Amino acid sequence: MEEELKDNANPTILQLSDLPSRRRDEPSKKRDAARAMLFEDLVPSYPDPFSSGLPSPTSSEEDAKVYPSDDVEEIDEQEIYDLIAHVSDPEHPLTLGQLAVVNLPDISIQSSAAPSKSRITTARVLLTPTISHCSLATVIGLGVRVRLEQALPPRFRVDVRIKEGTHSTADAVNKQLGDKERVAAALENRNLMGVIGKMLEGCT
Amino acid sequence: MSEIELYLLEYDRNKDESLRIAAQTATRLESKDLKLVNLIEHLGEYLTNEDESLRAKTMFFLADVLSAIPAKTLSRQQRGLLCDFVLSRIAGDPESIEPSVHSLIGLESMGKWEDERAVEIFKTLLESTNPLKQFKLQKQRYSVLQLIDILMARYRNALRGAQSSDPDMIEKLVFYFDGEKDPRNLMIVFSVLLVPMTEWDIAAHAQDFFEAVFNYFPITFKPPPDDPYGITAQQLKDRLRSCIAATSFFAPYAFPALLDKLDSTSPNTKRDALQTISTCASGYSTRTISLYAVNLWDALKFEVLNVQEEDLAEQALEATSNVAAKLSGSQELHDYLKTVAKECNEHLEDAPTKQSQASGRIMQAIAKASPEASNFLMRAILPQIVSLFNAAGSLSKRRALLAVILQLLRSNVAVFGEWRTSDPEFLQRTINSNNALRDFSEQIQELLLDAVVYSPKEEVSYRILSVNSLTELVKLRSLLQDQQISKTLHALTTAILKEPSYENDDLRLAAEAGLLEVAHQKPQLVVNEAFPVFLAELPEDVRSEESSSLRILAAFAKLGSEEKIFETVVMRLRNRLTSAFQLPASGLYILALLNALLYTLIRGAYKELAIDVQNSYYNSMVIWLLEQVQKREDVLRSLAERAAIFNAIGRICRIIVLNQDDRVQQEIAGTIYNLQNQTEQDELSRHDSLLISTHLLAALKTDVPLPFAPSNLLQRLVSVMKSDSTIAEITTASLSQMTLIVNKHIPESELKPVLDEAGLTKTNAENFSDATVLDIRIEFSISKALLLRNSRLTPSKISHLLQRLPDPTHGPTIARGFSTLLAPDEFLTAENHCHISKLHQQKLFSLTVPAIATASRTTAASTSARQNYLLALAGLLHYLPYPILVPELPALVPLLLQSLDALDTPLKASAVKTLTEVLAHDPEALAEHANALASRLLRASREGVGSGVGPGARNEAEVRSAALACLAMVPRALRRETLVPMRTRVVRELTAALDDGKRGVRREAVRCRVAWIGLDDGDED
Repeated sequence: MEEELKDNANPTILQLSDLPSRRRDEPSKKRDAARAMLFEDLVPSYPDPFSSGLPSPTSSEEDAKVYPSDDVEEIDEQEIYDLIAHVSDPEHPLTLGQLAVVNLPDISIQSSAAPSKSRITTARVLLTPTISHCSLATVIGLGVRVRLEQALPPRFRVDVRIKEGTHSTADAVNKQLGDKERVAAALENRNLMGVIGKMLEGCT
Repeated sequence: MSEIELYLLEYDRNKDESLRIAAQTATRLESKDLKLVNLIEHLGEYLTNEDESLRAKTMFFLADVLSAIPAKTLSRQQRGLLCDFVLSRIAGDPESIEPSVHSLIGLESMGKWEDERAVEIFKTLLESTNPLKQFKLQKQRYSVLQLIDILMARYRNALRGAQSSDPDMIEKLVFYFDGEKDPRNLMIVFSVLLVPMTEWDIAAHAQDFFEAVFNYFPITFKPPPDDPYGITAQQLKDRLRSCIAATSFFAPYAFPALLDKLDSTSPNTKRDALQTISTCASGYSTRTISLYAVNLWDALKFEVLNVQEEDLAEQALEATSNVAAKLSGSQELHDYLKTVAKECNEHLEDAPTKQSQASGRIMQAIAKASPEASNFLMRAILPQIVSLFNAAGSLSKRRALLAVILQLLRSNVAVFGEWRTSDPEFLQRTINSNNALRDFSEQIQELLLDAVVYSPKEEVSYRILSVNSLTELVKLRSLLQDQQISKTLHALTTAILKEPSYENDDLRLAAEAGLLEVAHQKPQLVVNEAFPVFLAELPEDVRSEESSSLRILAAFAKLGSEEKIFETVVMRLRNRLTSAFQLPASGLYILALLNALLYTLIRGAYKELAIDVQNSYYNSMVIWLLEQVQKREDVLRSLAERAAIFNAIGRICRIIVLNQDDRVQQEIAGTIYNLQNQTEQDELSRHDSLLISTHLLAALKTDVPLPFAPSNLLQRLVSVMKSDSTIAEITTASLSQMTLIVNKHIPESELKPVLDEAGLTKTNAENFSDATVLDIRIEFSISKALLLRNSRLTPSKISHLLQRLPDPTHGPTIARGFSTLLAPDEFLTAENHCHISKLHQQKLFSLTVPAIATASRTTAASTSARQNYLLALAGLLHYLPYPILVPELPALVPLLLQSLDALDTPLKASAVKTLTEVLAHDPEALAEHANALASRLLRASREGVGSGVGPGARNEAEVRSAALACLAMVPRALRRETLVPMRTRVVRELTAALDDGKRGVRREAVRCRVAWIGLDDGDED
């Protein structure tokens, strides 16, 4: 049976709801006192186009949540986690987040030491294969890399590696993942890109 | 010429004419003008002709005559003779099979055959037309099948009797249909074969019968695009499946063959095989299933433990459950479940794994098959779970086990019902089964309570699982004692009242839902035990918005969704409100209490109350509230707070008054009059009265006579607005009253005089330049009221407004006003007895959009005027349902693209939204604008720099993300060839948005970029 060909047929998995996520900030308590925050959606509120400008396409409530304020929200570890946690495993219909291949504490962002001008930033992701002889570690690493290169602005340098001590041939895999030319060559391979394309399908 | 000669002549030339000739013969037979014997004799010479097609046509003549003869014309004896005659033709002349069969069908419809006759016909067919595939034409075989189908359906007992004394019949029937390929015919073949399979003794021929149908498995038929017969693959599959599941004799062939198909690489074949196994498990006998149960389990579990596709797993679960249901009541159930339990227990030991999760699903599916299955699994699994749980070293293991407990409890509810289950049949079924869960319920409850109370607060999902499990346990019919339920109640109320705020309050929400469920099952218990705790937490007064009391108040109000305790909730809230009014408490708290009441009326069980109970709320709530209003003297509250309080009171009154009887409605009309005419009132009280009376007016039915003249009210409202024009709430309320009066309380014939009398029209007046913003708002309110009721005055009103759009002073205001015409409105709704024409959106569209499109295109229009046109257009489109725009798309698309450059934020977002809809429904309308669209959307996705000057210079986050979402749709909506040349540029320019300051925008940018990158995947396929 095909199942027996898999490196790890019965991996440990995490519940979706337990994966780290950005919980919405506590809804602002300082909102319009007159509406007494209880049951905010109970009474419809319609903007008055004559005084306050014009109707907005989504209800103003929702906007307030999605765009809480004018502050700049920097790209952080959680955001990178959200970008790659939904990449699916080539063997299982499960995501790298569920399989704990990517973990929030293993993602780090380092801005370059030089002051603001260049804004070059490095995003490092350490992967934990489900078992130490996982033959697909390189493919998973490439998938993560491709995803991040598509989704992060150009000022980011992407560094994807296998976490130390979690894989028997970690050095070889890291060498492959870190070598630009080898990555580029691998991505010319249509079969490989097919597999990676499938892994990225679930990313939204 | 004789009729037969005429018929033969016309047969190939003119079908209708030939039918007419046959009908004429039929009439002659009926009027005894022609004797049957003579007719047959006459046919004789043609039937002996050497030309076989001539013989067939002659038989068609007979068939057509027979189908045209009225039922009673031929005697039983004549019909018998005809039958004999036709049967002899069937035996002797295969070329004429189709008309012969038609003749028989015609004869049958004139009167039922005797059993012997039916059997004779059946046998003749089996002998003379076997195998059926000798007939090359589909319709020939179809005719024979139709006759066989009639015989099987109407002479079932006769045929069954005949075959038991004639084993030959079965043998012939089995191979009779061999080689049939036409879907229409197969539909009949399957349903014909189902009869012997289920009713005849076919044990000796089981394999042949099985193969006769299983040869068609799996059905891969795809109906041709314009199939006139409308047969779907699904119909064929369903019939084939019933055949395979028809008799246990098939099991030795069916199960190995079907399990074999599970190895197929095609998900469709697997799906069919699983569905068929599932049906067989229900269809075959218990004894048969017991022989295969363990084999089936070994194959089916694989589909769940290693999910390939979700629906296949579901199907496999259903099959395992059907096996358990079939075995229930027999000894063999235990062997089956022992195997299942053993394997599941093993997987649970390694939890949390993919397979431990699958085991939970399997047990849930099987345990709900029957009380016996449930009881066996509870005894086999629960002790194991409890000991694993207690020994578990990690929370993640415990969480996985809790998830399984929840699944088992859910299946238990499905089998044994809830306290509130009232279906007598269901109760009868379970009345004698003792629930094995009873032995463990206390232990499980303790375990769950511990998990809720003592586990770390940040383990939200873990604790939610426990809360949900506790709730299921409470639901279970006749399981827990009230005393035990109280413990759960205590844990839930503590979670609601004392839990600190953490991560979106998910746990508290789960506890609230749990409490509501308990209230549904055991209302009195909740009233007795939980209510006092809640009320103790609600203070006399609250001064801070941060107070947890407000949250608790909200949780309490939510209990009002349960019908059984609704009135108690309302009563308690009312008591709180009374003391809050007396104290007086802070405006904040009074408003919160009022909103809580309002919540119970809108979202709670108010609408489920009996009408007379609802009516009683007029006295206990409306009158009472209005009295409270009269009494209070707390003038210190801020204007906004007062407005909110009185609006809330108004809303409560509106809901209750809406459906009161005429007497009460009449009384309310008087109340409105009094509220507005109290001369001694100070200014503040006048405002309060105005707000409340607006809501009361909204609740009035149209036929209630008003104690005041509409035009007077309109004039008074205008003067109120002019004197208090700074208070937004007063202006809005006055305008709403105007729209309500114009929409509901003035007959069409009086509209013009009343409006003229009130002197409200400014746009067509000479002195338009004197008009104020307020005048324009009044104009729009009146227009809206007229538009919705589809008044004759609407077109002229709208056209006046349109004409004023280029006006340099008031143009922008008027442009903004257009968005109000279709905007949703709290007051103008069908619920409030307003006249809402179904066509008003269509009507407004045709009155405005084409005119705006033309006007903005003329060269005469100045830049600012064009800006106003675009503004008005965006406001209109914002609320128009998309299908209405479609006819004008060619004219609209260029304007929408212009809007992307010209407008400021909300309207730009509105234009993007419309473009998104165009992409979704009619992408070809944008095909030639692909480049312009992409460039403008890219520009709109940038925050500001370099995006030009003017109002559109800065793009708000909502515009940026809407633009990116729209741009992301382009690759799928438009043709690849058009887009490929733009791809590199778009992908490059999108990197800017990847670095946007807002996370939500970046998310859209990523999606959009991935969509565009994916464009070149096309050439690989």
